[in-house]
Amino acid sequence: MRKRRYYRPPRLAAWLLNRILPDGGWQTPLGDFEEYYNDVAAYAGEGRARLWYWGQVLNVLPRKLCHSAFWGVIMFANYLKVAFRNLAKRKGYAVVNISGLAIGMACCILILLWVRDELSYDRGHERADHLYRVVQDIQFSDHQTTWAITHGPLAPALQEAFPEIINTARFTGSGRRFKYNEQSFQERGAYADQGLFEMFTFSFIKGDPTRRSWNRLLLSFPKRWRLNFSATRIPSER
Amino acid sequence: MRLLTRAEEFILLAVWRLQDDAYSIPIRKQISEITGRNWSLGAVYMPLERLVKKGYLDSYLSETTPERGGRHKRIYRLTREGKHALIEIREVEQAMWAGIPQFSLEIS
Repeated sequence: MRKRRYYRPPRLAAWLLNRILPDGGWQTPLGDFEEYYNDVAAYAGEGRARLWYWGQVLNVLPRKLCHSAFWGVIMFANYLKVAFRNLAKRKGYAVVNISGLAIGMACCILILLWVRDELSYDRGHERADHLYRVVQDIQFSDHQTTWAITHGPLAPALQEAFPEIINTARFTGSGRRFKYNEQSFQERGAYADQGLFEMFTFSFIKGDPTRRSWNRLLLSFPKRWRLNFSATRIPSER
Repeated sequence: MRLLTRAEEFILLAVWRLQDDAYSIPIRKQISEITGRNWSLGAVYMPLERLVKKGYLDSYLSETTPERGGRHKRIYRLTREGKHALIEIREVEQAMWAGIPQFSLEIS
C-alpha cells in the first residue's frame, strides 16, 4: 500500500461518535469511517470529508436518542412488570414491606413539617435574627413545665441588667369590648409595649407605628372591621 | 434456492473478487465504480450483516493498521454456501435470459 498523508477526522465529531456507539464490536466500523474519511479527504479535499463525517454523526444522533429513549421506556415497563409479579408472588412480605415504608415516610414527612413550623416561629419579621422569646421553667412539686409567660417587671429588669438587650416588648392578650358611636364589638385584642412595633414587623391599615404618641390606644383592625367603618373615618387614636 | 437481493448479490461478487482485501471500504468502492452510483457505507454494512446471518459469508478481524487509527478491519470471506448461491443465481439468470432473441434487446 502506498504511503499517503493521514487526515485526522474532526475531533469533536469523532468523540461524539465514540460516545454514541455502544462499547464493543464498533471499533471496526469506526476504523472504516476513518479510512473512508481519508479517502474522501485525499480525493475531494478535507472540507468535503469533514462535511461528510459531520453529516454522518448528526444523521445518527436523533435516531440514537429516539432509540435509547424508546428502549429506556420498554425496560422501565419491564422492571415494573417484574416488580408487580414479585409483589403478587409474596403478598405478606409485600404488605409488611410497603406499609413499613409508608409509615416511615409519613412519620418523616410529619416530623419535617413540625420542625419547619417550629423553626419558622416569628421568623417572618424583618429583624428576626434579633428576636428572642423569654420563657420560664416552672417547677411544681411533682413536675416541671415550660411557659412562655413571664412576670411584667422582668422586661425592664433584664434590659437594665444586660446591656446587650436593645429593646424589649411585653404583650398580654385577652378579648376586649370596643365601642364606637353606637356600634360595639367584642374583639380579640392585646395590651402591648411601645417596643412591640419597633421590634416586630406588622402592617398597619392606618397610622404610623413609629409615632411615639399612640401609646394611649392601639387599634390593629381585623379585615372585617373595614366593612363596618367604610362610611366613617377610621380612628387611629383616641 | 434462497433468493438474494441485488445488493446482496453484488456484494457477494465483490467479496469473491477482492479476496483477502474484502472489507467494507473496497467493497463499497468497487460496487460504486461498477454501478456508477455512490453507495453509502450503510448500504454496504446492512447487506453484509444479512449475508453473514444467512451463512453465505463469514468474517475475521485483520491485524491492526496505523492508517485506521489502530483499528482492525473486518474481512469477509465467501462460504461454500455463498459460492453455491452465486453460481445458482448465475444459472437461473442465464436460464431466464435464454429464450430472448438477440435482436429484441436492441432499443428501438
